[in-house]
Amino acid sequence: MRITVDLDKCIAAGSCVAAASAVFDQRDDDGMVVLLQEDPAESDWESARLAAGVCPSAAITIDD
Amino acid sequence: MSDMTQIDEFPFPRDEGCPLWPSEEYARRRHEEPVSRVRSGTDNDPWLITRYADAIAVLGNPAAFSQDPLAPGYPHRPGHSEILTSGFLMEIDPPLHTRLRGVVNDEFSVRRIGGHAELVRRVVSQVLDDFLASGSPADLVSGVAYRLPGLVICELLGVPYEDKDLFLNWITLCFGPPNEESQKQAAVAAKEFADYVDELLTQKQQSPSDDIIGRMVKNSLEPGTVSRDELLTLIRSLVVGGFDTTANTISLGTLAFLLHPEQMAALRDDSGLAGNAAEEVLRVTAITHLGRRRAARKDVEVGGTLIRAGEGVIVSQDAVNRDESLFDDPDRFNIERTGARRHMSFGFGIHLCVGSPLARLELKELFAQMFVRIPTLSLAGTRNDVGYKADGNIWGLQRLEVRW
Repeated sequence: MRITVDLDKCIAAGSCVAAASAVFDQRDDDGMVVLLQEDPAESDWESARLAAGVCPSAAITIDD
Repeated sequence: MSDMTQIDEFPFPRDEGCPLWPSEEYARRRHEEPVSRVRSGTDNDPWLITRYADAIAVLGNPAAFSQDPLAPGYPHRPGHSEILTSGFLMEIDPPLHTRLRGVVNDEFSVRRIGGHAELVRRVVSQVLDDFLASGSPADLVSGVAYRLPGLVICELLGVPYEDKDLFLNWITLCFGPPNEESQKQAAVAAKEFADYVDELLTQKQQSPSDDIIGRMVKNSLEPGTVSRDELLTLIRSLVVGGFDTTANTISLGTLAFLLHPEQMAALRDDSGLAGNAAEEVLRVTAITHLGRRRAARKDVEVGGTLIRAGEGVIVSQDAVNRDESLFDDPDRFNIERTGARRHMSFGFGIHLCVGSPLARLELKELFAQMFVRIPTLSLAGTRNDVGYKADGNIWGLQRLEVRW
């Protein structure tokens, strides 16, 4: 699985962090997404897909 | 098997001695019956979601839980005024929602909104100047809380300066109290507002402008991604979404500071705390007290309870924002709290407030300046003199007399 995030779309909602905290975090100052794992382990795939699905600005792309 | 919780009317009434905080019933249910029934002015008794994890399960599953007010079992807001909201992003499901949301998303990204920081700072400064000049005591609700988001909206949408007062007057009237006279005025104002937006859009179609409307015309209307009627509805929804909501968060947030002077002092001494302070204000104020509402389209188990297709669901942000699994000592107003931004005051998932970066910027810049500019700000009366507004769509204050 390969994950990319589009920082131009990010609205710092943090929905991705709530859905998949092993894969996403937020910057302290502005809340922008931090991708912790571009290529996560299979055990994280389901939560990563949920995160992509809940992102309010469709900023997360998953190739798998 | 415990006795079923009595089906109480939602939202639960606030304690008269401490109306700023939500009812203790939310915490009780979150501990004892995290998924339970409530009465909410309709003939079905929707499920009330009180835990953070369950909120994610519901709001993160739009295929199973629909936003559409026409879906069977949708728990309608009692007395909900339809004046401005029909057809808005909040009320439609994918794929239509996806296309329309895409039109506005780019204008409200963190990066794009960050580009407006200087403008917002300037408007904050002007609003505070004017407020100070009006003399103490004064009503902060009209003098600050509604003025800031109103002026920012005008600037960002490109409302011409000379139309500003008219525009602000209309949108203020649209959010009047639910009595008959006000609602008549609101209906008239809503029509005038809609006509004005139509005319404004025409102007911007004829003369391209560098503002939100101008850019949406160029990037979405002209290429045909959105129809003119759809764009009009979107523009109106941006105003509805970003005016009364932000205004009441400002009022309630200011009251929270006035009632917690040590927090006010901490922020005054270090305006670097303003960003996190804004998050903590959002967490404890949770102005959408009627919750996030959905209709189940299929049978889903949430928090160990089976929710059936055709049943209504309400996610209480008051409850979720105080879930101890995320927020230590949740009833404490603490602007230095780590993880304050994990609140769900903007919702969660695909319908999460489009304007949240702008709301955050406005709150941050306002609270960064407010107590530095007005260090002796305090309540003009007692906390019982504060004019609470608990009977509308949005929880807030109609009056907050302050002095300095």
